Amino acid sequence: MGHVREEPPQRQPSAVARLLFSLGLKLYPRQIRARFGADMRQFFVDDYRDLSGAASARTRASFYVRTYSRLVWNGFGARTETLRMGSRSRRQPVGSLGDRVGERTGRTPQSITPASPAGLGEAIPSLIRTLRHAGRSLARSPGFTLTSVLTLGIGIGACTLIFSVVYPVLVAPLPYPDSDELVVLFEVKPGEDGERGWASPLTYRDWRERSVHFERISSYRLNIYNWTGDGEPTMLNGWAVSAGYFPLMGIEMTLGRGFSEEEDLPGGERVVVVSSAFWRQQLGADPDVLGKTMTLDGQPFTIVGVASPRVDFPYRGEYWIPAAIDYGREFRDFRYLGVIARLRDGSSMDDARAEMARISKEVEAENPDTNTGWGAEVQSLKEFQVGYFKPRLVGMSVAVGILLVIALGNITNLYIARNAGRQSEAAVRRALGASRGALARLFVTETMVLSLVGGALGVAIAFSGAAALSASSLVSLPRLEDLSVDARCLAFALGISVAVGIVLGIASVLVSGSQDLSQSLRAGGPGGMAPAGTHRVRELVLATQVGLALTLLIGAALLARSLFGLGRIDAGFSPDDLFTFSFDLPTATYDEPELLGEFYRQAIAEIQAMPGVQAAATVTPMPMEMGSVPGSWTLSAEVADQGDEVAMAHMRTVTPAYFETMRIQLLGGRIFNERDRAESEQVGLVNQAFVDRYLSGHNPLGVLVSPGDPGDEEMEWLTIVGVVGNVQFRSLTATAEPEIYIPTQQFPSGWGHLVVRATGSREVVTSAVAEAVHRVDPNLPLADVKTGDEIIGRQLQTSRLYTTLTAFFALTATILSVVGILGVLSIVVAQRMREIGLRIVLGARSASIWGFAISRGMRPVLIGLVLGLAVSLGGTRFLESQIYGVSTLDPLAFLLPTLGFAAAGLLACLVPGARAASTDPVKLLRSE
Amino acid sequence: MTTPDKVAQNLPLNPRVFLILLAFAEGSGYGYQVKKAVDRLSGGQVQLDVGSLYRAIAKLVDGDLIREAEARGNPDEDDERRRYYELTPLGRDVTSAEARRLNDLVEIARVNELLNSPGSGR
Repeated sequence: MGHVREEPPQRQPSAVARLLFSLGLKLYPRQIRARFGADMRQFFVDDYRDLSGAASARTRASFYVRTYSRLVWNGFGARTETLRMGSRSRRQPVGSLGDRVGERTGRTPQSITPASPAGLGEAIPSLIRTLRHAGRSLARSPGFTLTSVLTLGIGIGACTLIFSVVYPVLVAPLPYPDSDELVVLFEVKPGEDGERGWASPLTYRDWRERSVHFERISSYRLNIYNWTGDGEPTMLNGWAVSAGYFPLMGIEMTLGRGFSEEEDLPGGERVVVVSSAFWRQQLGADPDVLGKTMTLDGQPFTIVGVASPRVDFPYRGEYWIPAAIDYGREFRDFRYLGVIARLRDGSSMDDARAEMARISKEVEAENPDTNTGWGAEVQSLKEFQVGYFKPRLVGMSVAVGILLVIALGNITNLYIARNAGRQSEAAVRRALGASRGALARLFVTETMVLSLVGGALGVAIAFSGAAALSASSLVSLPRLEDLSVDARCLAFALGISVAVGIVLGIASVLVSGSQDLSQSLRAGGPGGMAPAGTHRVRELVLATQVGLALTLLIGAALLARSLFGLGRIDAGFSPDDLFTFSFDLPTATYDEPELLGEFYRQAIAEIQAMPGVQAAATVTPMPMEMGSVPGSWTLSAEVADQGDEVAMAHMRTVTPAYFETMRIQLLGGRIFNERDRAESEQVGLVNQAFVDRYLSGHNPLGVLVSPGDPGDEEMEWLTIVGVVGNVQFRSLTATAEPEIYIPTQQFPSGWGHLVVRATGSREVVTSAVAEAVHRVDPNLPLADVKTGDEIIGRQLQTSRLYTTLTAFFALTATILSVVGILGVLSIVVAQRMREIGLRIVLGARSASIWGFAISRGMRPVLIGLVLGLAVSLGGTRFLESQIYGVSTLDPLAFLLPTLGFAAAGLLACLVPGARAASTDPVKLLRSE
Repeated sequence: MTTPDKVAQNLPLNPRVFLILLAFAEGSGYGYQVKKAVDRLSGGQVQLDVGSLYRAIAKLVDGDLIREAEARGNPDEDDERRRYYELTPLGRDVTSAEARRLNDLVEIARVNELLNSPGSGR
């Protein structure tokens, strides 16, 4: 026989793989294991060694799957099989054929029965038999079956639901060709007062001209236009992009074309590409749409293309126009462009990073005033889109995984208990000639039936859960507009169900294999005791469950504490009865500041005249909305002498009633009034944060500030006439930043938000306000209606959803664990009835019987609690990035769940405890 | 010596078992070598996994068709943990009887002109 070439011994399956193999070996009958175990292990090692070399992870994975599945399959086979060598020789040779052969060849063959392996023909009826048997057996204990199916349904359902969320967001590739080559570029200023921004158009141009590792680079920028078509005027979100944007992203055109380089120059043709959804919903899927015009902000744009569906970068827009950047009018330190690029074939992220670092150094050296300290960051598009959500989704996956493990624990315990009750049945079956392997197959068939039915229930749970989530606010997750349980999720659920069935099956075979069946026959009736070993297994499972559930609970408690804390933060304005609408006045119509001022005066007067309206104002930009960019302000000489010369502050232009409408506190001086007009003295208000940061020790009233740079010839100074409270405008968790308010009449801007404080439903207020505004400008759409609670709530939405889900999983896990305690303890009490009865006869007081029940039940609970606390102490720091205002070791979040769990465990002990204590020994012994 | 009766009891052989015995006909060997030999003899069509191989070896040992070998292979490659097997006289007889039986079947095919008709088979 040819010898197998020996390889150096360093290539070995991992310890885990070998352990799994050894576990699989346990399925084999003892006589095979004892004789061949060591050789079989060696075979496994040889087989692996032959495989490796250049084996990829995929090859290795398929090797393991093949090896383990066959190992397990043959293990069951080996158990069912008696040594049948030669048994087939009893079959008679096929006479007539043999005779003919004899005639024609002159020889008589010894036997010419065709040699066929055991056919499939036998396997299927046998499978059906086993299935029917398993079904009958499960139907005999409906309580067990129902509980198991429900528990599995919850576990598998939760996993499938979270998979349906996690897969499209985290795992699935982005819907662009070769999407792993796509990166986004930012300007960043590392360091203490680090900043991360979009890119200045000038720097973007440098990147574009000096880099070699990118195949293409394109800018993108949000663009809002009012579309006046046939119906109501509508505000559309779109993107202004470079000519190369569509080929860069790999976006195909359903109709027409993208943009030419000429169209991307300042003053180029006004052309537009519309989204597939817009084309279908608003343009009636008109096949002759190309060449027609759309009126955007009063200007005609020629439609040159319709993009293919499912383009949602960076998020959904209705149209694209050429960016047509006029570089002559841009500034290095005005960073507002998004930049996306595609890596050249063969260039890596590291290449790109090194190159961008080099270019940034050059740009920094050439522009020391604006770019000192500024570098560039390269981030994969995927990371850019989902990076923020990743820790939460991973956390959620861990939570449902734990839930599934707890569910499995419960079923294993139930199964052990049930099989303990069936031991005599099993023993009788064996005595009647059923092989151990046949029993094992029966167990596995049973668990498989259970897990598949549970999986079906789980899919139903996942479906309804997904529907509930879609109806809630999960839309804030990227790429989840169409959350659904699709074929992939079904496959996932099926996979989990099968895996669960196998795991449970193996567990039950192993447990039943450890029981000596003849002993259980001897032990007699259904009240017979389970062997001590299985009890220890049950306690271990229980303790693990309790520990895992407690860990989840503590995590959920931390998240909940953080959420409640966020809800209590004072945003600096009152959200009650507040409504906001965004608007964008077309510059073509409102080309004079006077026209803007006139519009604001009239519109606000109209709105304030409506019944139910308490106050109305406009603000640009709205707190907690996009558009807040800090600008530099020069402070007047007497203040600057003792501190900063330049203050960084966000500017908001507001109409006088803004502070009244938002209920922002006036802390000193005055607010704006109707006398602050374009031609009067220029005035401003600052917030408390501005005073704290730049004017401490001064009377802020009367201080002069200017938007110009220090040393400019013609400085326009404005006088600070009042100080107002801080508003949390970035997010609830950010610290307040300095702000300057300017009267709209002195600095009119054509876009912003209307804020209205009014009593009434959202619909009533919305239509009333729209009507009032349309009396002033019938073509102006109002978009993005929000209530004050929504503005704040949106900040909390993701946190709230995440916390709710985690809390839900944690509570489910706790309930499952408590049910587990109850179930196991009931069984323990039931099995010990005889012993308890005897104790009572011998004079044990009911207190000591209680003590027995409680100590039995609480022991695994206490062990589990200690385990859970230990794991949580080490583990909650992974939540650090997701909680706010709470320590990861918050005592309350640790203590409450622990005590609650202990109390629930104690309650679970009471029912079987009461049953034990009220045992009537006479009755019991008589029934024996 | 073996009796024809004992040989007949073992026939026909499962094709996999036959391949395993044919592998041993080349000399003694241990489990993984058998796998490789069967792989080679069957032109890669039969891939034995560890479970089915050792189930078969167990049956063959119990049926006295193979036995543990005294003589080991190449001492350089020897490994204390490996158990070597070889054909017993009965095993050799059974293997050759099976080979003859199959040969007779081939003969039938040949007589019925199944071996030289084109078109059939591959």
